[in-house]
Amino acid sequence: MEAGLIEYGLIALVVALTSSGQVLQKLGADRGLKNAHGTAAILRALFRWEIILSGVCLASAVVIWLAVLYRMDVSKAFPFISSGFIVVLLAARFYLREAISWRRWIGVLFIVAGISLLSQS
Amino acid sequence: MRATDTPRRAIMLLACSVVLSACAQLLMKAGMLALHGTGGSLMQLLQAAIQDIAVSGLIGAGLLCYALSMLAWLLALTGYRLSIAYPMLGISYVLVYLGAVFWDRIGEPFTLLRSAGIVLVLIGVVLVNHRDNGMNDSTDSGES
Repeated sequence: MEAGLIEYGLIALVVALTSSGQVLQKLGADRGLKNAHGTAAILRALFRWEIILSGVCLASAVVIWLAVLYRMDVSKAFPFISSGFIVVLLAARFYLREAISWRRWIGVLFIVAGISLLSQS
Repeated sequence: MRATDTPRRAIMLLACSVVLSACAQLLMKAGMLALHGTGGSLMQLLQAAIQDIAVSGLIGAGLLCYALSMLAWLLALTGYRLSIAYPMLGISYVLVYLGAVFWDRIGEPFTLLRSAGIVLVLIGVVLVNHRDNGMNDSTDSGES
């Protein structure tokens, strides 16, 4: 299966949607869940807009991912998907303003490389 | 980051989330494998999936694990920086690989290349968790 511009575009979309979903989940966790005590409060916090929107992002990412898998091999597509780990870290650094040591950057590069190998059949 | 920096609760929740998400993947994969051989249209596939107890049980259990994993993940995020918690999901890929190799329902082959991947992921996880990374406190995240 020959992957073209459309496939890589779809993969970029999957990465963008999952990364946005992760950031939204973190925002929802900090703004709602962190101060929720008791089952009722936790349930209410799960219906904040950040969490709902993250669900929409992640669900549409799954659908697009299935479309990618229909068009190319998982072992070819997955190394690109695992770059999402780097995108999430960039978002955590520049949008959430988390401090990230160089050691952690290197660690994530190892994880991305390892996952790329794990996806090879 | 050591256990002393992050609330025990958050560590447990993150661990649960990682294990449950691997279980979800494995159960759904096993369910789809059990469905294999049922040909035909999407409707026929759906019907077979619902009627076959093994298939619906495995996929149902997989979906349940997935939902629980998501809940544990959201709760864990209240105690972790995203830049520490998210890389930990790499561990679940390792667990999925090991499960796919050792669970005879799936029985994927053990390969040198993929095993090297495990080593890389684990080195990465250790580096990400290294001492100088504290936990998330309310002053350094969620504000932008």
